[in-house]
Amino acid sequence: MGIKLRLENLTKVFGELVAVKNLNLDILDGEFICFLGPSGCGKTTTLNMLSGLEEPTEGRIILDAKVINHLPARLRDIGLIFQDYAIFENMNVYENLAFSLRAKKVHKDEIDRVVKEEAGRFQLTGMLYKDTRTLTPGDLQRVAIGRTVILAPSVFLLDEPLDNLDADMRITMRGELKRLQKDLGKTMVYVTHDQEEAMSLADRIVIMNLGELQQFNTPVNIYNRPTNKFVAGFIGKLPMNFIDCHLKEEAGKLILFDTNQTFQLDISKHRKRIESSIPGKELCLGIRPEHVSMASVSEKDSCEVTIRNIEVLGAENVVEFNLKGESGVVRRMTVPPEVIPNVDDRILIRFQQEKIHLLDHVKGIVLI
Amino acid sequence: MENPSTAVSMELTKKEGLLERLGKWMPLSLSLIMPVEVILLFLLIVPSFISIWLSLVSWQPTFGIGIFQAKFIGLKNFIDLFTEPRFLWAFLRTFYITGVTVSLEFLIGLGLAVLVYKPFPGRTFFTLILILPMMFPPLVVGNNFYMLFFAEGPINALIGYVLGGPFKFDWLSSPSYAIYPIMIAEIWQWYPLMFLIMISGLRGLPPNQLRAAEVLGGSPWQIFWRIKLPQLKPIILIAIVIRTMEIIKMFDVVYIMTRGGPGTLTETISIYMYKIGLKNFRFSYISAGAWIVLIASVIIFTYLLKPLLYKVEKFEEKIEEGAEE
Amino acid sequence: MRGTRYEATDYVRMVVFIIITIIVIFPAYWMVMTAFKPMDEWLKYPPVWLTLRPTLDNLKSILGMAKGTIINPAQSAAGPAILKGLFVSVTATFISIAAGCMAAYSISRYQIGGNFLPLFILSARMFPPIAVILPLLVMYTWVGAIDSYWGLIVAYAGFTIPFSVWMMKSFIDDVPKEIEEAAVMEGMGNFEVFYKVTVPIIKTGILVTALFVFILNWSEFLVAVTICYQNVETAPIFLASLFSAVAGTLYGHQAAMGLIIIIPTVVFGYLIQKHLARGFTFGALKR
Repeated sequence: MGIKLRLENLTKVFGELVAVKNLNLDILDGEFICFLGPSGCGKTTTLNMLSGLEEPTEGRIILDAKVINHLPARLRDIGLIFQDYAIFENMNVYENLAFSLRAKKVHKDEIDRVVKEEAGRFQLTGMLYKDTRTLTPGDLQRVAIGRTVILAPSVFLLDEPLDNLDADMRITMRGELKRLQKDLGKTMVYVTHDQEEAMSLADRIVIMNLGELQQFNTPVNIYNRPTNKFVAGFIGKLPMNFIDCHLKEEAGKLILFDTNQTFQLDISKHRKRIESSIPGKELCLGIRPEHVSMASVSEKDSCEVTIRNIEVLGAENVVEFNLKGESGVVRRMTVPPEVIPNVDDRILIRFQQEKIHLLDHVKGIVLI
Repeated sequence: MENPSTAVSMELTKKEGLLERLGKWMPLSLSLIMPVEVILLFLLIVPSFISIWLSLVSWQPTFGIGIFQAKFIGLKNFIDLFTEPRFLWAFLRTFYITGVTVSLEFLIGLGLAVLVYKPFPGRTFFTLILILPMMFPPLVVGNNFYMLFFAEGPINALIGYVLGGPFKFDWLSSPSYAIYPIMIAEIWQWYPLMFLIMISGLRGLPPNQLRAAEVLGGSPWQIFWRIKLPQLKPIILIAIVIRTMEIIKMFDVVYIMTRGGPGTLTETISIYMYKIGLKNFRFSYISAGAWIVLIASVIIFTYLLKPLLYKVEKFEEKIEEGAEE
Repeated sequence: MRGTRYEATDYVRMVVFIIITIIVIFPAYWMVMTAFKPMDEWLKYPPVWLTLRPTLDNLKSILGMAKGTIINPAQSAAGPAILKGLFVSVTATFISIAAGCMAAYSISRYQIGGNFLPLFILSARMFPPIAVILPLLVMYTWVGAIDSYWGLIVAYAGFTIPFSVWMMKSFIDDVPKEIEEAAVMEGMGNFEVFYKVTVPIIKTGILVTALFVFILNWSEFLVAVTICYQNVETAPIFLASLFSAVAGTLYGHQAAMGLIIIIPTVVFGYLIQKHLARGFTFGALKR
């Protein structure tokens, strides 16, 4: 698998605003890549630059080893599916699907054959001659995807395509999109702000914030080894818990403890890693709610917490708690569905040691 | 010491102004529209009925009798009109001028709007200047072009430069050609309206559809014919209908430039009716004529404009097929 | 414009537009030039493209301040015609706007008349003026309104009502109903809501419509020249009167009068140019 698409120092500036800052990426042939990030992080701008609708301020876009910066959108071998589908309202479904072929001046009969074939694949055969203004969002989306598939580009770009659908349609379409990509075998770049979507679809995820690349890795790696606080906090169905803490040396061991001294953790085995990274004084313990468990008194690293709220979700429950002496912060843990503690109860919890992340508060880098 | 209940009742009465009391026997919605109704009643409805009556009798102010004492002659006025060549010619001429002028205004307006679509240096300035003609009253436009097409005037001088020799053609007295300066004057005055409407239309097109078309490989030409123009159809239709509605009534320009002459060769409907109605005082006759014009306009809109739009579609398809070869 | 980069084709278009502008402006230029030409240059051949002896004599002559030798065939000077025209136009505009605003509100908020009434109002524009003028003349003779100010004012108000109503309706439609509903909940009577809440919000729209209607009234010719023959003279009537076989071709005077007439229409026109499309399409198109 070679490199299909390379972004080199890609930058886009709008007046005072730096929308995309020095983006460097290599996307492999046939990969399903997700651009993930909050609104305004630059992912749509990047997509527009890739499709040719925006010109980069700096940097290069290289497709199949050819620089395509100065090619207009229609000459690039790239397809784009818009968030609002952008179906041509003055044409019916057939004409929408046929558009790219007519643009290439393909013969009428050939167009007919191809359109009818693809319509079958997307279950559009029954509505080929329908007025597009009468279609549901689900139908419109299939037309949007269908006409791009007919265009047969080597790279597909999708701009939050599932955003306009209801929750259940979204989950169905997710699977269908993944299957489609496998069938076509083409490279896909998918933009979304929904981290669950990205995690479930992508081979690799590009996480962006404020125009900058935060991390580019497989979903598993991003989940287990986030490289900075933003990524750590962004990924995961429930946000990660961040607890301010400090280090001290005690009896030859490296101890991590929080401000109110409610817990102490021996992290000596990570000494090498921490020392070589030269952490600042402000440290932060990161632990996902799913890695916080109930504990018994006997366990050394347990600590006492007060329960503030419980959410019963069916498959599991989410317990909100506070460490001793804390207020105004929400910490979460997940518990099995049978466990339903009461508010204001005090229970013991522990953090699963292998799943602890230590972050430098100031620099935002994850140390463990 | 105030009794709370009287305070409340005083509050309630305060809100009952004059119109509220009026509202007691007429809902507000009706009373608001009353003035317009009254005005239209006297300026439109009553005159219409009088006009119908006049068209069915034989009456002129010079007869010296009241109009309701006139002799009823049924459709005779209408028949007379249909057999009056001068009327028929005025009729045809008006629609001919309308057709040509509106088409050219539309094409120019659309062309300019397309040219102006993407920015270029001085775009705002030029756009403002290009809409200037629309701000001129028709009478002044007529007067202006009258001077321009004067036999020894600037237009002829310019033609003379091009031809290499003096060109002193008296346009406005020419039987075959007097109509052209009139049309040029109308087009000059009203193309800006089409221009503005087309700009408005183009700006209102959904941008993502146009971008999608680009990404799907559409060339600017293809995008224009297959997406922009079809989506502009409703606006184009409005523009053409409204323009046609107004130009059928055209009077000022023709009046000042030729008075309908030479002879009767540039007479439009309005001029004809003005002359016969107000100079020859044939009120009944002209009232009938006005109704014929109105009915004809309605028929034209319903039966000609729609098929026209259909033809435009076919024409577009031919253009694309031509471009594909 | 900051940040705009122009390519070669853009400059080509600029040149094209320069040429087009010259062609379009030429008639206007000619009129202005002629207005300031001395009499001997009016009919000269080859034409005088740029006068080297500009003069205010034409203007002075028609305004009745002539210095001497030019025979002004019209009995009256332009001054009174201008003032009368202004009076008629302003009053008619006022009536048209006041009535139209209320009607527009009624149509917009109460859908009065359903689909029929608004279209009926619109259809008033479809009648050829002659169709309405002849009966109007008859009616006016009954009430003695021929050649009277009020006759013309009422006629103008009536003819511009379709524009008033439709234009202002489009402005009123843009006002969210919630604002009015909130006022009603605060205890305002319905008519109060109209003139205390809605009208202030659409102030600009009303002004725009008023200027638009004024332009129409000020420029109007056919009705004026038909209904009035002596007493009431508007500016366009005066201009037409400058065409007389007796005096020959008074191009300079005509151009000067034309210039005077277009001043309010051009000024107002440019003030409301954003809304011209809305006005001429009866509110169908909003920029």
